[in-house]
Amino acid sequence: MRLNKSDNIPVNYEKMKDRELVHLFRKKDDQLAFQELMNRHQAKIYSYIYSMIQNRETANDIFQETFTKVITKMDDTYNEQGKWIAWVMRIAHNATIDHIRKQKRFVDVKSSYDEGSKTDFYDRLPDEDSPGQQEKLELDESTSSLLKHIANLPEEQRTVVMLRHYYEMPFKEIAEITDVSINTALGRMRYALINLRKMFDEEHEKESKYL
Amino acid sequence: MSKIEDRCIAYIYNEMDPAERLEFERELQKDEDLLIELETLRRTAGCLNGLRCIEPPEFVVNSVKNKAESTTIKKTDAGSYRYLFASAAITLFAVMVYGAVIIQDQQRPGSADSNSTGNSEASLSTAGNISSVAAGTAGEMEEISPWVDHDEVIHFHERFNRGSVASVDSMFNHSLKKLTRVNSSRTVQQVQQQIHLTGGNR
Repeated sequence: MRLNKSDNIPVNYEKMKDRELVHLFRKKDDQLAFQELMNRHQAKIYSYIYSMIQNRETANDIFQETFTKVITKMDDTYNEQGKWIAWVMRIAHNATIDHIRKQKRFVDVKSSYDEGSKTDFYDRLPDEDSPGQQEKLELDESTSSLLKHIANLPEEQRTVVMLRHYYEMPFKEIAEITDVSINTALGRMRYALINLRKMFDEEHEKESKYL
Repeated sequence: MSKIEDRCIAYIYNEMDPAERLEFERELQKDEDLLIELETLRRTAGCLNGLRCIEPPEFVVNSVKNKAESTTIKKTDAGSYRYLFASAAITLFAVMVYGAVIIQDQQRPGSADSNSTGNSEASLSTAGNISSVAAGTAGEMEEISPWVDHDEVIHFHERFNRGSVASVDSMFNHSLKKLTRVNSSRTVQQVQQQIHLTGGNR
């Protein structure tokens, strides 16, 4: 749903920068400015959350939770000097990671760190909300297949892939959001691509067997 | 400096400055394995371009929109309440200041109300009561009701607070100095017929 179609957002709002829209919403309670901000970013934010969680209901909840925090905390914690979307993505990322960690919290096994993939046991565990176990969105085949593979990546690699892909976020910003160094962020992206390559190859092998 | 393999990512995603990029391309020419890895990573990264954005459901978007509207209304309400409270506080403060000024004005020693009592240190009223003001303490007035015994001696020492003994003594001595000797016995007799006053301060 694009709000500007149903709510008739003036054209000049579409030309404004995020910062100007945020200012209008904060200082003048301009609802149209907020709707325009949502129009611009809602799909990317939702895609990021959904790709991390792989469950529609939970993604809906986390999306709403994210925007509730955005609305209520914008006056107190958002500094207009910074990028608004980076601030929102940090909130979305934290809410998503909180959810994923809650799901894994009750697993009573010893963590083992694997130097090869730079992941521990928890990262290699599939999420409870993994595709196939829960209801999935109706997506095009390519997106659905890619998301399935991305869902099997360790959490931190998945995060870097999604932030980079959906937001074209510089690795410096990804490093800031995920509280790691830029080299770690680059390393995670590299391992993510290597792991995805393996998954694509395995899938290809399976398909060739059935043919 | 990051590992050379990690720098492949920076190269693929155009996050190198021109000088760094040039240096990395020189290394690629020298190292064939690095070039193969770079191309593999680039192909995999290219596959991710097939990912499409997923729109959130309409009811979720509407819910967020309603939340934003209700928060704005709450903020507006809170703002008007804040204005009301501020006005009430200012009014209350003004009333308190005005009251304090009036009270202070009334308590001032030189004010009109206190003049009438402040100037009279001691006087014998027509009813026989002595009104005295403690020496040096403006406004602290103590009423003394003396009594006269059968020997026509006036008593007042038990009729005032112990704290004001000194002031009454001074008043008494001051009055004593004003007494003049009576030369004419006739006048004395005349006075004795009316009232016989002697001071007593035991």
